[in-house]
Amino acid sequence: MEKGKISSLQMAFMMYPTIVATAIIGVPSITAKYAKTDLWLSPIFAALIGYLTVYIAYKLHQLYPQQTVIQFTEKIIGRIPGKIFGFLLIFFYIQNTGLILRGYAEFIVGSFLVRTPISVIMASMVLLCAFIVRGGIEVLGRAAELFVPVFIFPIFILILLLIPDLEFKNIFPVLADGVMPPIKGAIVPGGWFSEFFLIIFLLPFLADMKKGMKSGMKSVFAVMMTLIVVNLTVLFVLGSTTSTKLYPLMNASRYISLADFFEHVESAAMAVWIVGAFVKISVFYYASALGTAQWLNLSDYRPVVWPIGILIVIFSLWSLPSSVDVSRNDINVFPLQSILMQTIIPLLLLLIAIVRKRNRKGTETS
Amino acid sequence: MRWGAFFCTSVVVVLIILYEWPKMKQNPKKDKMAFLTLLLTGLVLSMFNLPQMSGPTQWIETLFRPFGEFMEK
Repeated sequence: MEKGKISSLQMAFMMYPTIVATAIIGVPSITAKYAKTDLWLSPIFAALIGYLTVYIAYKLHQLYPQQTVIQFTEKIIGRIPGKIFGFLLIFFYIQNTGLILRGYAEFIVGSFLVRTPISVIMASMVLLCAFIVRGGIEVLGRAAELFVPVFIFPIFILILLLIPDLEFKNIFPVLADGVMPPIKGAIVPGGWFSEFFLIIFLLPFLADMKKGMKSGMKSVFAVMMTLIVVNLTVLFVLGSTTSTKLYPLMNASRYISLADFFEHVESAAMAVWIVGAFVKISVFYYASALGTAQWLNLSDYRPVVWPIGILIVIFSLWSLPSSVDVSRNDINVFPLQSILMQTIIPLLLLLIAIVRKRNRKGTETS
Repeated sequence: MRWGAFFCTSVVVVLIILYEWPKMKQNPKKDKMAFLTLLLTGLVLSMFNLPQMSGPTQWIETLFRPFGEFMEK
C-alpha cells in the first residue's frame, strides 16, 4: 500500500511539530490554571505518558513488524473486536484532525486574519495537506525535515529576544501546595504527549527499524524540553496572569522591543508557526487516510485522501458553534479520550499479544 | 439547510472526482466504492447546519462528563 521509506530521523522530525505545534500555543495557560506557578513542572510528568506510549508502540511494532495498528489488532483480539477498535481509532483521528484544524483556524482568525471566513482558512490548509499526504510518506518526511528547523529556530530567537523582559522571581513559590497541582496540570499536556502513538503508523516504513525506539524517545525528550522552556518563559514574562491568557506565548512575544527596531515580531513568529501546524495536520491526516484504507482493505490509500479531507472539514465544524466550545473540548474531553485511545487500550493490546505469544510458545514446546 | 455551503461542497466534490477518477481507472471496484461513499457522506453532511447540530463530538463530551467535571474543579 505504501512503498516509501523514511529514516528514523525523519520520523523524529515529523513527530516533534506534531506535539509541539499546538502545545505551545494554548496549553501553557491551561496548565497554569491548575498548576499556578509550578506550570514548568507539568511537562516532566506529562512526558512520562509520552515515553510509555513510545515504548508500547515500539513493542507492538516488534511483535507485528510491517503492519500498522489497524491490521494487527485483528490478529490480537480477533476479527470483529479488532474491526470495532480500528473504527474507533480512525474515528478518533479524523475527529481530532478536525479539532486541530479548527484550533489552528480559530487562532489565525482570532489574531491575524480577523475578517477572513474561517472555512476559507480551513479549506486552504486541508488542500495543502491533502497534496502532501497524497504524495506519500517520503514526501511528508522530507517536508518535515525541511520545515522543522524553520519552525524551531524562530522560537529560539523569540525566547532570546525576551531575555530582557524576564522576571525570574515569578517562579516563587515553588511547590507551595505540594506536588498535586502540577500533576493535575500534567493531565492536559499528557493528552498531547499521548499523540506519540502516531509513530505506529510510521514505524513499518522506517528504513532503519532498530533506531525507531531511540529516535522516538529522543523526540519525546525534545518536546519535553521545549515545553519546559516555553512554560518557563511564559511564567517569567506574564507571571500569575498566565492562566487568563488564551495564547500566552503570543502575549509574551508582544513584550519584545529591542533597540526600537525589533517590535511586533509576533506576526513573523506566528507565520512560521503555521509551518508547524501544517506538519502536524499532515501527520494526523496521513494516519487517518492510511488507517481508513487499511480498515476497508483497499489496495491503495490515495483514493480516500480527498474524501477524508472533506470529512475533516466537516468534523471541524460539527457541533462546535464557537471557539469557546473548541477550548472546552480541549480541556474536558480531549485529554482522557486521547490517553484512553492511544495509551491505555494499546497497553491492553500489548499485554494480550504478549500472553498469546507466550501461550503459543508453551504449547509448541510441550 | 445551508445552500451556500452545500453548493460549495458540491463544486469541490465534482472537482475531486474529475481530478481523481482518471488516476484510479485500474484500481479494484472496492476502492471506487469507498471513494464515492466517503464523498457522498461528506456531501450529505454538508447540507445540514453543522455547528448547531448535535454530533459525535458532543456525544463524546456527554460520555466523558465525569472527567470534565473533575477538570473543572
